[in-house]
Amino acid sequence: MRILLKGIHIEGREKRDLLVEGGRIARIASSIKESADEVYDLDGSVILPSLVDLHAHSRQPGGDEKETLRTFSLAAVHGGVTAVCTMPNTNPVVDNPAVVRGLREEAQRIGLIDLLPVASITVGQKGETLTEMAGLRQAGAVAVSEDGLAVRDSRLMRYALEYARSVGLLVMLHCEDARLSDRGSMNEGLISLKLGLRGIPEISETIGLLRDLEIATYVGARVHICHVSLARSVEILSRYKRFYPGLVTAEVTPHHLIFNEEAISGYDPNFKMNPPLRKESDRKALMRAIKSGKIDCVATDHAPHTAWEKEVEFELAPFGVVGLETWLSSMIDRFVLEGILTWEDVKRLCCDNPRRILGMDPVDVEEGSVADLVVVDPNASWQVREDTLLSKGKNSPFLGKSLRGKVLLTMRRGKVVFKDV
Amino acid sequence: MVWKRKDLVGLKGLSREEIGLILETAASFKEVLFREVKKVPTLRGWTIANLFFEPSTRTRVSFELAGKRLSADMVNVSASSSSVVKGETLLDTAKNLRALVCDIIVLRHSLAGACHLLASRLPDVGVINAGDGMNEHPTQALLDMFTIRERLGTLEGIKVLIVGDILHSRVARSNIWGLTKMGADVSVCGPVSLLPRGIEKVVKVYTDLDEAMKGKDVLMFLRIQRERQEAGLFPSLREYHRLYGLTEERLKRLATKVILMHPGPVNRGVEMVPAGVDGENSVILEQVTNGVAVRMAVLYLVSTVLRR
Repeated sequence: MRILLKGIHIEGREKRDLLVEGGRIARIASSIKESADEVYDLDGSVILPSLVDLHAHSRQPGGDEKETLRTFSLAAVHGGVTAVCTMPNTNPVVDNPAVVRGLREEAQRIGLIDLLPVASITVGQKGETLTEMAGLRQAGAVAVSEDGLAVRDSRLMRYALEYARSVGLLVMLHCEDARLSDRGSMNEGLISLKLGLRGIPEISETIGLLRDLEIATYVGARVHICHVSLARSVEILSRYKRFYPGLVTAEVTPHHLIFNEEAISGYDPNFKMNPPLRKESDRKALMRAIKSGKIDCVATDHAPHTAWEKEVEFELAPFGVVGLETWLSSMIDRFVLEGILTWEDVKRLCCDNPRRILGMDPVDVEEGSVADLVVVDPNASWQVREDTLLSKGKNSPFLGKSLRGKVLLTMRRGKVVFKDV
Repeated sequence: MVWKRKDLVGLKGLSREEIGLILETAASFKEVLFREVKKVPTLRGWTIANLFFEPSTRTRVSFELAGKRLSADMVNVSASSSSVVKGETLLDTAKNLRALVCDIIVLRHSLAGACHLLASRLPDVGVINAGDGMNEHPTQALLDMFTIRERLGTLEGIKVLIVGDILHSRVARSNIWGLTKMGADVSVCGPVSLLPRGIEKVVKVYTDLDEAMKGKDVLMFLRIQRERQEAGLFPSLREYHRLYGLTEERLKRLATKVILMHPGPVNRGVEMVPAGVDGENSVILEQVTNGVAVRMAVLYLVSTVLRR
């Protein structure tokens, strides 16, 4: 199978033709005349390595009403994503090797993405007994995490991090002191005061972060901090990263980079997530942190919910928004085309660093590389609507908006897994 | 000025002119309450549902009487007797009321934004907020403003102190938005644990009641819920009364022209000593009477938009 992509800009640079054969990039030249099984004229589009998402909720097993592995895979490739870490807060919880294997096999059968299961830290996410991390790793779990249900007991957290270190498993941490968040549904401050909504204070994240970083660095465990939302968290993180190089990495979501708490003014549950949208000054600090490397990467926290779950009072609505399909587009629309980020930045944040954090080699668009690729037209817009999203979850903060940066083609190991050309 | 809203979800989004119009309209309806036949035909043939998801006597009865004085048919739907306990969503309950051809829904709900949800999703039904979570209780603030204006002649420049649990209070929020817009000088007083973060950017804040009371024209004491003490936000009702209650001693120091308000129901001896509740300075029962006039005004104004 030979596939020829014509007239593309590699990471936004000069125009090239690119020939894919046998799952790899066979040739890159200013003009390739050879015949191919499939030829795509992609004049003016940009090619990047496909994106890798460190944080998403497939809702599988058990959550068919919110998402199936098929709709999840379709959503991923629609967004130019070919490998996704899935969180374990499912029913049943991803806490044993059989579930991990089952997920991988099912995703393989669908054949669109590499599904990288993250298993739970404790059995049933109950915060009592550690999961069999060695067995989970062997079955194909890439990390362990308790995600939204941060391990409350600090002693158990210590044991978990020590044990994860001994079996060589990455620990992904959602940092939160749940007692301080209480029943809050948005950032605590002037806006929550004006809307009469219970607030989630900054200190619920920073105290959780400080505790987890103290334990992790004390026991020497490799940890990845999920969805950082505060300027203050960036400060804390950079201090630990300086003193313990290589031990700590961190991610931020596209919605925390793009929106602030003021987006909630109409009580729209599509702006309700945990951690919540914060102040504009936090958003700006997060932007600086991805530029400077204080935050390593962007991850979606894709969290599909049914329409009926979100069509309720704001405080009753579940936390979380979908993000796989708008990830790359929103980064292009809001940052690249506005001159805030370069294509190299996007590659580093969404393609290279997520791979590095998982211990995989970054992919470069060069001859001989694995053909894990995404082609996007930065100047074509698409409407984010219920019928244009392939995920079952339509709970997007971009709903009704237009985004520049349309994914034309996604390729995984040389096979076209999505195309819209 | 012409009223243009089919709903009243809060005072935060209203203009000074709109609030002024409600108060003027209420003044003209107040006279009806003291006629021999306490009724006008304004809303004859209209159906209004009191949809209450929280227990309330005062506000529900006040809306019920306001509707009846305007000749509307009133139905009361309370959460305990409705399908809500069977798991129906708020939106579905409201859609059912619309299917029963209710023209206006008066909503009391424990969660902020509930009225916004109904108002935006039911384009042909009027929605009136009778209290949504910690967010707003606009008709309470309107009746408070009506009462202050009736007593003191104006709201402009009047110094109002709101005392107590500001954090959880929709009455405080609506009063802050409304009174500020009408030119009053609003400040709040309470323990920091009962003040919402960021409040100092909105109004003047005191933690010492004796200092706060100085030079104020209106003292508004808020009801304190026992569960706040149980949740650990303050140590005891006894200490609360000593620090933030109207004690005998504070009552004695009060200038005669100062008016005392409370949205009710009063915990006698906690927020205010009985001599304060029943005394010369108290306008608590006038607030109750004015509530009916204000609610008649709101129902009427909303109906003029729905009619069009």
